[in-house]
Amino acid sequence: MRILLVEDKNRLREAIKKALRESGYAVDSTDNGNDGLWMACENTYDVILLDIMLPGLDGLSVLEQLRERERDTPVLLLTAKDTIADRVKGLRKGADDYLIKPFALEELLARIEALCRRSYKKSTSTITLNDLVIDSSAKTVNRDGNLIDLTAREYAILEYLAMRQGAVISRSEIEEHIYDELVSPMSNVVDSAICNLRKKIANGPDDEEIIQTRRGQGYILMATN
Amino acid sequence: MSSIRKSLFIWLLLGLTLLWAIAGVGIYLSVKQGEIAKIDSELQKMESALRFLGGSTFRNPGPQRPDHLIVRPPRENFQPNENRNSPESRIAQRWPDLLSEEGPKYIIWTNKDTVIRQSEGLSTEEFVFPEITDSNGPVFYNISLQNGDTMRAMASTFRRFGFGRPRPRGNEAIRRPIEEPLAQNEEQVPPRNISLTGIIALSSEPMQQTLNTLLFGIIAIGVIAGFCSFSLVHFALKKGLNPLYALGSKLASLDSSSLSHRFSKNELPVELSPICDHLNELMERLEDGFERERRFSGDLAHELRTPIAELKMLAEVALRWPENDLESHANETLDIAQQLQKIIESLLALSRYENGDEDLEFEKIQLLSFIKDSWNPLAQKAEDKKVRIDIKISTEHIIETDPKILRLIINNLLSNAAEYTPSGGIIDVSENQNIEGHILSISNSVENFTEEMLDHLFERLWRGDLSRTDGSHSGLGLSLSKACSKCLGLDLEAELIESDQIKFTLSRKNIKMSRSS
Repeated sequence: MRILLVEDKNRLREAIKKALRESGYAVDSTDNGNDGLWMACENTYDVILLDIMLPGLDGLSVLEQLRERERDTPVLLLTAKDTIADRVKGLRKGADDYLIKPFALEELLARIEALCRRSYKKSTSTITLNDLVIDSSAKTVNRDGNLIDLTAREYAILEYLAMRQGAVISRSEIEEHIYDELVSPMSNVVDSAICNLRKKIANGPDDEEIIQTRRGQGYILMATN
Repeated sequence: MSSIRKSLFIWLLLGLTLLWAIAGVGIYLSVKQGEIAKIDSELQKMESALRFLGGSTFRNPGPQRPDHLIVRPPRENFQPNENRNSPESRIAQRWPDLLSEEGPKYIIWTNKDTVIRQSEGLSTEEFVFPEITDSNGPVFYNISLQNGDTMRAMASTFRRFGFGRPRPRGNEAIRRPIEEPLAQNEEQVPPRNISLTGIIALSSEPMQQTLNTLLFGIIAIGVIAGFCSFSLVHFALKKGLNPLYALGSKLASLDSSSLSHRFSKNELPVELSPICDHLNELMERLEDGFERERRFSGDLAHELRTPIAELKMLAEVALRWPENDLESHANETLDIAQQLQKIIESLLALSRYENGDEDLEFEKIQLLSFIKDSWNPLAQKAEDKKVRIDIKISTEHIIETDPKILRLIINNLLSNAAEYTPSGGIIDVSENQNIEGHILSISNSVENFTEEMLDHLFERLWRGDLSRTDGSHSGLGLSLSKACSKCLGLDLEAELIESDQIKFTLSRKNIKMSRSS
């Protein structure tokens, strides 16, 4: 999942960015509203974390313009403004959630997960595919009751494929959602990660792959018979 | 607590009651006067009867006069239709009531002691001889009888005429002189041409009954009118005071979320219009005050919450994903703690100076060296920005003040000037001896500063940068300087000159300022 973080306080921005990356999210960040709006319009994000008091364009204006341009990316407002009027105003402008500073990291991550689930129309944090169980809140994958050890990136790819199970996901889509600006578009990190993922979740050498390749199109995660 | 409604109610009711009472008394008295005038008029009409009675004689059918005196048949023997009307019949014809028992009462005197004629059964004690003269004309007055009845009486004097003792005629004139004593059977008849005094009185009972009926009517109408007045005043006051109650209800429904409400004068009577204006002014001031406080709360929340959020996030991330770079984390944590400390100390100082809790220690200081001392720590930063300072303060400018507090003011002003003056600009520090009480002015050029921002400049935690990104400022410096100035009895004012120059002027209210000779 790829997240845009727009926060003008450097220390806070860096700390959140680190936490999100460690949690398996791809994170793009900026410290002002103008850049934030541009990035939100140019890229595809699963969630946008937006501060309200920003230099340049303030957070509410960014949100307003985003909705005017029909970008329906879920937006979580992160702000020190705590009055009911502020919260109502933010939600009415099109925000999907509102978190007041200071907040607990766990709560932030839970809210981001909830927003991701909502954007992929999943109501629970568990995705089951045959005997494969993906727990998006615990960030764990089990097959036949056995815990599979995945890196954060591998888990993120599997979760993304599972969220959109049955649909063919192109390599560029995976790059857009799982990898941030640090990843070169020319690299084969996606193929390599998919390869590793298949090996880790396979039950044995004869196990039919649940991540299938559609040549020239991308990858698809689907239940086998 | 006094009540307008109660007060108006009492006064209006009293006023209306008084008016009703005056009207009732007026009607009663005027009717009474009319009735009396009517009786008096009746009495005046009967004056001729009184005169007639005074002038006539009533002879009893007594023994015949001596034969030699009989010249003609006795008058008593005349039949009414035979000769002429007798006095009785004339009275009966003209004043039929006069002879009846319930009719008018009369009494006629020749003098105080001699009654020549009176109504039957009349007591002379009740009808006292009146002391009047001819020229007085009739006199009207009331008489109370012993049986409790009251009568309206007219007393008058008149000359006897017509009847009376007959003039001596023929032989009688020869035989009986005028002074001759009356015959035994002859009534006491006063001689002609003497003055008689008579009273004729009519019962005033009918008038009294009329007046009693009128009084009863007035009282009955008064009671009904009083009840109607009570209801009318109650209704009128309720209706009249309704706009006031409505205004009160609207005021009571206001809270901090409805301070933008303004009262419309169209719905109010003209008397409440000034109150409406004052209320609207008050609402405006309250709204401004609340808005200022809301801004302060919001800004304070931001100023405190953001560093706390940073601290919390840093700590949680460090605990969950530990790194080797502990020194960097410690430095960041220390920075945040110092930022918080600065805000809290500024707020406490502000509170102290605003409440005037600071003990002042006055001493004489040379302003020029004082300013130079404040500028020294900022000089390098200004030099880096190529900002120059021009201090035009005389060495003779000595002021007596608390140097610790003045230092806070000057440091804040110079620090702001160094921070916000654009690169290559000049900070001008000057004095103006021509303005009484002027201590110093600090002016510098600014960018993107408006008149509207000038209004908020001294507000607590106000910052030109609405995003409040820069953590090195909290927006308390100028409000603190203002509070310090007030504490020292000084005025700190700011003005915008030509839209790109801001000037802070510090002048005294009651500071002891001296200039060495």
